[in-house]
Amino acid sequence: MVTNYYRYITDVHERNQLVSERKIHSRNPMRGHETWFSPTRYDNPLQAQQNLALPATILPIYRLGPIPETAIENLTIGPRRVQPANGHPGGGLEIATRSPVWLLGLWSFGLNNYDTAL
Amino acid sequence: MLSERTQQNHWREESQHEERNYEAFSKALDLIRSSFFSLHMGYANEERWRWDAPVVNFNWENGSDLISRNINGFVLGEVNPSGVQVEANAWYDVQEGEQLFRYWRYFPFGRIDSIDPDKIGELVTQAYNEVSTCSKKEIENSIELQN
Repeated sequence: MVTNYYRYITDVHERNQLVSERKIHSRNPMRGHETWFSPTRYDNPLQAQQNLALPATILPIYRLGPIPETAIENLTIGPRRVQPANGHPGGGLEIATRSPVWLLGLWSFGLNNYDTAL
Repeated sequence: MLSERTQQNHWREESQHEERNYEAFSKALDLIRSSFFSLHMGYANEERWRWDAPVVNFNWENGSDLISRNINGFVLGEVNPSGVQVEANAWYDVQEGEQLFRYWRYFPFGRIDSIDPDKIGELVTQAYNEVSTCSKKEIENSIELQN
């Protein structure tokens, strides 16, 4: 059985990168763009914040997924259980990778580019 | 709830904001690191930028009481660092039948609204001293974890 993963994002720059490049990749160069995912699908961002022990400033705005585990390569972390942090008990599950995860796109032959227009 | 068009405009406006100065935040994280390793002589696992947050985490076990401990130094600020918040946790997980429980204690040590190495050192020292001496009797909260 294939495990699916989800990414929770708050950064507008990452959101825009995701739409324009169809690439899931942290914007942070200081850790080699290490990008974090959880196998748990949270429907409530507060629950995601609590179980993933995220800081108060990182309340997820978007959930991205499901992403099959086969699409996530070269794990640097996990799967592992989240430590307590930021006033939350943690306990969720997480992984990380420095490799980008590529999304499907709608390629337009006319535009010679991906069509992202609504 | 924002309408779809309002949400799109919101994202366009937000995208004009400056991106985080990752290098400046990393330098502030280095100050927290220096303070921690001036106190802790044994092994500690170090991790930074978990889930893209400007945080440095140190976690360790002392082997005798089976309690896990961590100290988290979080650098405040949107584009550039403006302060530091330090907290610590002590916990242990227990499998009880088919259920997994986490017993946990949280130590909030406060924040400073500047990047001052001396004040950062004071916060880290206070956090380290408290969490290092925490015993199982003092760990009072518990939650059930998903298996």
